[in-house]
Amino acid sequence: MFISASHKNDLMIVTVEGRLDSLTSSELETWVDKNLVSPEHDVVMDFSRLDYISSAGLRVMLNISKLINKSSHKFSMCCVQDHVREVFEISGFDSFIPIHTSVGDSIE
Amino acid sequence: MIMTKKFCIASSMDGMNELRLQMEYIASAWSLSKRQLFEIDLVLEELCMNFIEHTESVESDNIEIELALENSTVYITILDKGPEFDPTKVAAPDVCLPQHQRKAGGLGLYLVKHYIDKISYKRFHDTNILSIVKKTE
Repeated sequence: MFISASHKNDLMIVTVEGRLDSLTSSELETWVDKNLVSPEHDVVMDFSRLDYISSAGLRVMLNISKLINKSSHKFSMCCVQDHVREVFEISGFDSFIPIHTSVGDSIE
Repeated sequence: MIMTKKFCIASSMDGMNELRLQMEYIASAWSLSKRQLFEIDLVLEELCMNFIEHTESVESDNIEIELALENSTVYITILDKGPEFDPTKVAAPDVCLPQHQRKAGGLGLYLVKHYIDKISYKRFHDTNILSIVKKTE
């Protein structure tokens, strides 16, 4: 798994590449603990290179969503591959984490 | 033509890593599509993690996995000698709940049931036996 962050127009873009599963989800949790505890901007997760997600990954996504929504900021995802998007839809996560088609669409 | 593969993984995170490697080998040897690999991978990860998290297994316990592919249908059998546990009886989570009422967990088996066509469980002597049928594209 590879995690990186950048900023664009007061939006924090977190890019996660590879697999978000039972073996790797703790890496994202650790990264979030270091970098997203007090978010200063809205946050979008760029999943264009996320190839796999399981319930272990969903668990982390739920925690991130709750963490960011506790602040005054918004949390969304973008560029999600079809099979990964399907997992979010089956689980009903798309009802509380908006999915955008591009980083640009994430900027209101 | 029937293709089969049988292997054992440890009941631990090391075992999950072994499962990952086995699936990479199977995807290549069986020429699975990205979608086929994703769905089989997900089903196996969720069921094996469910066993590791919800039983009092020790690392020396093994999970035995048998896979067979025939005419685009995958047959999966998972055997373990842990305490009796029937995942088919686990209640489905409410996936319509708003975020603040959501709790971690419970989604793994829900995803499994979405992606497979048939699942059956039986306890034979000291072994849990899960049989899964999954049609693929």
